[in-house]
Amino acid sequence: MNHPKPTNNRMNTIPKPFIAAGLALALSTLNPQPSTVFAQGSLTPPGAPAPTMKTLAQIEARTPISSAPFTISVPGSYYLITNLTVRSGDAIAIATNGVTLDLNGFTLSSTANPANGNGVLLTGSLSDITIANGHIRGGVTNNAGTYGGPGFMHGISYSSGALLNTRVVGVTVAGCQHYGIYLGIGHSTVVESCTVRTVGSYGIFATTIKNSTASDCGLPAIYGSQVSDCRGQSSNDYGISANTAQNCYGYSSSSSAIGLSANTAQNCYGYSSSSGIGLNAYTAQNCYGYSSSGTALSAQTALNCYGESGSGTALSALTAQNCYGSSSSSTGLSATTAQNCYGYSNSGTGLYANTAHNCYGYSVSDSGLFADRTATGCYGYSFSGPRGLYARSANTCVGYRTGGRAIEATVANGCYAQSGTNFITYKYNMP
Amino acid sequence: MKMTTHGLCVAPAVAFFLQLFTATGLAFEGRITATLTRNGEAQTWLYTIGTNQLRLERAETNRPHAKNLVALDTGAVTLVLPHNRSFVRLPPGTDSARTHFDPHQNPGLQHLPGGLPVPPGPTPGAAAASLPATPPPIGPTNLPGVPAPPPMPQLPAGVGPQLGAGPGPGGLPALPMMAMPMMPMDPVELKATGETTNLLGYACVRYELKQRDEVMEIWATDQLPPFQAWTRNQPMRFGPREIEDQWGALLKDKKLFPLRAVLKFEGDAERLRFEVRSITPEKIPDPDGKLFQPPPDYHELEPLPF
Repeated sequence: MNHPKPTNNRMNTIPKPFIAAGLALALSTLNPQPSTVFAQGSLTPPGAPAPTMKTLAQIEARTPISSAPFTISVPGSYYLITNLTVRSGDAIAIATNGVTLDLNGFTLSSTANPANGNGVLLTGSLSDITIANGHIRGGVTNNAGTYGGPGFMHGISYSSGALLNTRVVGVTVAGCQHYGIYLGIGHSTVVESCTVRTVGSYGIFATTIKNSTASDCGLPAIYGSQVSDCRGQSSNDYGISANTAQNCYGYSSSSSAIGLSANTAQNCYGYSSSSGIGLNAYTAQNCYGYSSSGTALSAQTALNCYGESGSGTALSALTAQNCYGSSSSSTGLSATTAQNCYGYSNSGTGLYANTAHNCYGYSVSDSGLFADRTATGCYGYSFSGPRGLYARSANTCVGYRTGGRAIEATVANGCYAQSGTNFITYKYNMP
Repeated sequence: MKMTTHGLCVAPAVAFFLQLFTATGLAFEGRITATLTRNGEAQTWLYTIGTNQLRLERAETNRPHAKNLVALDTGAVTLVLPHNRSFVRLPPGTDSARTHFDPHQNPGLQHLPGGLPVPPGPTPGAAAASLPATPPPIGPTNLPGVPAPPPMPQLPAGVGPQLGAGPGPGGLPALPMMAMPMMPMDPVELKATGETTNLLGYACVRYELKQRDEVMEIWATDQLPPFQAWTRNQPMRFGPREIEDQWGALLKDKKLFPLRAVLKFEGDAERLRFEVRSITPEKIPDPDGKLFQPPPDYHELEPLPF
């Protein structure tokens, strides 16, 4: 019996266009280049295998320092790999330009007694120097104002000439006989994010000083041309002395020194714990000065400032605007020209000025407001003093002195006594 | 006879030169004690004057104060700093009244963000603790540790700082807070008034120093060496100089020595008083030559590079 040959019904059901496309796809995977199709090149290697690793200089292109004293006489980058101590002299001397010294978090210290040498000495007029990231420490202490003990003479300093393009960043210095960080001034020297403590002379001395602190210094703690975001404290001298001081705090406990002294001070705070001046500037803006018994804030131009003193003049200025001075026993605010100001004193004159405009003076037992020439739109209050307000010429002013002279003036225009009686030679537009 | 004639001629000449020498104060040798009272705080200054040198030191022993050594012929000052066992030789003229930073070199103001760093130390506020009812905040209000001024009573319209009168600080009328040009300090000039008196046996002339509303009355003589005001450090370069910082150098420039000086602020109490207590002419022994020199074991520091 002949059975019919089974047929592939599925095959028969695939459409012809699909078959053509499948063939085309299969052919497209074949590389048409004969060389790959027939991969039969030479098996002989072209040469010996070359090393693929990096050299040590490529991995760490810096020179390690593992002992001191160490002198850097070739430009390049150097770094500490351990703490280093010297018995005398300099720990590291940099004697060439173009050096980066990374203290790498380690400490340079000295046991020299008496103190001598430098943590890092820059010899001569060098340029392009960076010292960063570490500590310099000696054993010098402050014993009742006298600095002495073992250690370095200076933390970082230079020997002569002038430094150019020199930066010290992220370094702490403590216990040195004289300078903490001394880079000179007037050239391109920068100290940034550093701290100095217990040094017998200047704490930080550089052209630009930023974000740093120096305390327990025998001479000015911070001395620079542009000083910002810094704090300086000295027991024997100025806290901060700067051409421009911004966002700074200066403290001094010396009676003959100043907390913060600057040509221009902005957002600054000067403090004297004795009879020295708290803050002293040609121009002070948004500043605060305090002195225990001396002038708290002294400026040629004071804008938005506040002075407070125990027994000295609180705020003294040629021109004061939007200022406030408060003193217990001396003049609260004294200015040649005062505008929008307020002066308070317990037993001194509240506000004294040649010309006062829109000001308020208050005193418990002295004149509230005393204008040597003109007072305009001012208010003077005195509880028991000689008068509330005095002016040679008073315009639209008010005086207050219960049972006494409210306003005392040669000429007054549109003024009146809120309490007390007026003592005026020539009156206009007023009873 | 010739000798006599010569002697007659020479004697007045010698006397004249001796007198001249004495009158300039260069011949004085001895000790002077003076007190300086500033803001109620007194200092005693001890002058030891040799043939051509002057040593000035403080009598107080509360801390190691600086000593000033002066070469009278050149005026050069050596600062001896016992607190850190060092000394600095200042070039002549360093402490002159004319030596100072020129504020006109200062760049203009810039506006800065940010507040003050937190101040350590005692909190200032004792003086204002008893403030009477007074105005709203005037001046900076974002200062740490600053007591806020007490509230101000309502004042008549147009009089005094007005509450809520504008966008200025603390409700004060708005003021243009623009950068102001730098102003030079008032010139300070030492002027003789013509008045004379005798103090401690020395003929003195009255001088006046004026700056702003401050007046300093000085009685000074030219029969003592040029004045040296005690100084603790090299003159600072930055910031204005108060009259207290200038009077000494002005007298020194004019080769005068004050026997009394009083600084008063207009309508205020004395701010500074200098008074010579004693003057003792005597030969100053200095057998080993150390009196006018810094100690040999002190470290010499370079003067500031100005």
